[in-house]
Amino acid sequence: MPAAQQTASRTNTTNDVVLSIQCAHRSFKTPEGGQVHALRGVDLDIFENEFVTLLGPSGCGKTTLLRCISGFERLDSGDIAIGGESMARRPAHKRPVNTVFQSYALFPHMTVLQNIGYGLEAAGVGRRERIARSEEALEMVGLGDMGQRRPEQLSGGQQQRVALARAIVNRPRLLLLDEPLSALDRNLRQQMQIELKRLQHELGIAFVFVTHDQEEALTMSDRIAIFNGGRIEQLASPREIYDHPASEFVARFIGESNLFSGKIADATLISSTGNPLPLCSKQLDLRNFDNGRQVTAVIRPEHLHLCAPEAPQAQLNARITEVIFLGTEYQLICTLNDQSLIKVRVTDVNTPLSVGQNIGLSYAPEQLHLIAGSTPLRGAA
Amino acid sequence: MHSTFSTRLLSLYGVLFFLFIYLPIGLIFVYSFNSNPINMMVWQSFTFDWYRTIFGFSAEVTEATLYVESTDQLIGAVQNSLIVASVAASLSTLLGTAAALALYRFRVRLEGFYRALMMTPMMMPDIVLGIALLIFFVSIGIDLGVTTIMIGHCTFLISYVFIIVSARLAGMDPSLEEASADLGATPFTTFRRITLPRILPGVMGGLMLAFIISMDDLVITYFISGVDATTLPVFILSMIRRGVKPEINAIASMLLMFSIIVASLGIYLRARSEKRL
Ligand SMILES: Nc1ncnc2c1ncn2[C@@H]1O[C@H](COP(=O)(O)OP(=O)(O)OP(=O)(O)O)[C@@H](O)[C@H]1O
Ligand SMILES: [Mg+2]
Repeated sequence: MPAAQQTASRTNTTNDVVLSIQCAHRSFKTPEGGQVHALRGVDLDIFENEFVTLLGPSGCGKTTLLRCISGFERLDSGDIAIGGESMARRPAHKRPVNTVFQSYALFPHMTVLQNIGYGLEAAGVGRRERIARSEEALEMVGLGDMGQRRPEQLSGGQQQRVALARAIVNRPRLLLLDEPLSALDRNLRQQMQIELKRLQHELGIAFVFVTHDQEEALTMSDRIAIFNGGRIEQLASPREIYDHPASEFVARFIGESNLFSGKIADATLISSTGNPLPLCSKQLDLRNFDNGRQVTAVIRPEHLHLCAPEAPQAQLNARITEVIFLGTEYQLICTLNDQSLIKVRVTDVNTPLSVGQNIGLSYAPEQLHLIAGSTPLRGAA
Repeated sequence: MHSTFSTRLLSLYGVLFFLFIYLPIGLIFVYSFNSNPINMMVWQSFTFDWYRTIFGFSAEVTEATLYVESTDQLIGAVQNSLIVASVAASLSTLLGTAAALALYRFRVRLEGFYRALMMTPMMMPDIVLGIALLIFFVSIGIDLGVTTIMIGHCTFLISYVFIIVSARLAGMDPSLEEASADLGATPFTTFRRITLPRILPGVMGGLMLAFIISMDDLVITYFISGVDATTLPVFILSMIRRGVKPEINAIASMLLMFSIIVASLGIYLRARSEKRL
């Protein structure tokens, strides 16, 4: 199981913390006179060789955190340590991190090779070695023959690769990438995703990667930090985050989900949908959820199965309101008794489905993940 | 292309437009080769005499070319102008660029106010600035001369440089400087390798413009030049006071050529660096 594997590989390297962020706070004054809390107590440890993705909605503080790590922005309180050394008093140019900027920020008045060699030059590496290492880095990103070009003579994807080569040639402890792929088209983005992973393996550098794209986060990361309003809501492996979201926000943000709020009663969830929803007693015991406890249950659309409305296994009754064909499967939007909506995946495309049809839905209780606490009931998210 | 009445009318307008701008200048140029010493508006024959005269090479000193006596003064005035323009333009380029960088780099309170302060001297009426400078120099007891002209020119030339360099800075991607620091370059290296090359076209453009404006300034210089330090425009004015002589045309034509060369150089340098960016 990938989740278990990741946990294992993490424990192997626990002593090699590359980056340690403790209780980072940062707020900005707005021109209107108010205050924006961009970071509100972020704790984050990143290990040697790890690929960690920061994922979250716009304005939740991802860029601010990266800028604090690289030294372009200071913390109001808290500490950032790289390789065990506090960075509080270190200016940006003395920190062992490199950044791939979203806008690439290639120096327009220099050739590609000069761009890549810039960091080595600043570090005092001799001309011969500088050129050799720059060429090697350029080779690594697959642009071996373009060293003499100027950035404006490259396509967006090629510029992206140069920015990457420029950042890795210095062999930093940590590479920061702020939405590096957002300007690329879908095909190129997927290709770059694979290449980034390969590079990360070859180099053994820890990557902190910011993205808006949850699919990107799920496929690339060792761990994902889900950001919300300047805080980390959950920090775990992709599998863990998908299967066991720690909060409603995470459940809604990652993948598609159906949420039910209610009270626990005799291993069932009493919610406004009418039917008591059976819960997995093992999970209840494990998490010490007693009768009467307010919880929110999450179930993914692919874990709901169709059956006849009167069938004994039907745990929910619904009416189909929309059928969306997705190529290899259908997505159904159904209305429950309480008028809330629920999403269902149907993989058997030969099932006759029509709008207005009454159906039954069943699920395995262990697929229903419980989140403590409650908010006003809502069906689909 | 199909030429209709309206496009022909438009072409005519274009011709008239450029005639309106360039005819007076062209006339001066033509007159500077006219040998008629009495009435320059009547063409007699082609001559280089007026050019020769102002350089002091007049072969036959006649009643008509009696003007030679001022040649030394003229050369002195040109020298003064060149010295003043070089020093004032360099100094104001340095100061104007530094001011633009400071306001760009640091988050200053009342930034808009300071920007306005930087631009005001440029928009102030020349006559006001001239009188103000004169009173200032006299009251603190500096003798009027080349030095006061340089200082006076700097006060408004800095504005021009400031505006041009600021525009250049505003167009610069701020992440370039961050990228440089991120790659380990010290602030000084970042300035030398990244910031300066990026704003250099603006700095050079500001230098050229400041030079031409300084060469050309009459009103302010007139107030603060004193008796001995005459610049070319002030000299020409005093010459014309004694009657418009044909030599004026020759001087004006040469001044024009000089300005065109400096301006072209500026545009060329700018275009070249623009292409390299
Ligand atoms: N220099 C600044 N001055 C004032 N407010 C700022 C500044 N930088 C960031 N903020 C505010 O801090 C919050 C977090 O911004 P940040 O750029 O970190 O978001 P983000 O997560 O990177 O968003 P996105 O995904 O859109 O890039 C935002 O509300 C933003 O308006
Ligand atoms: Mg951002």
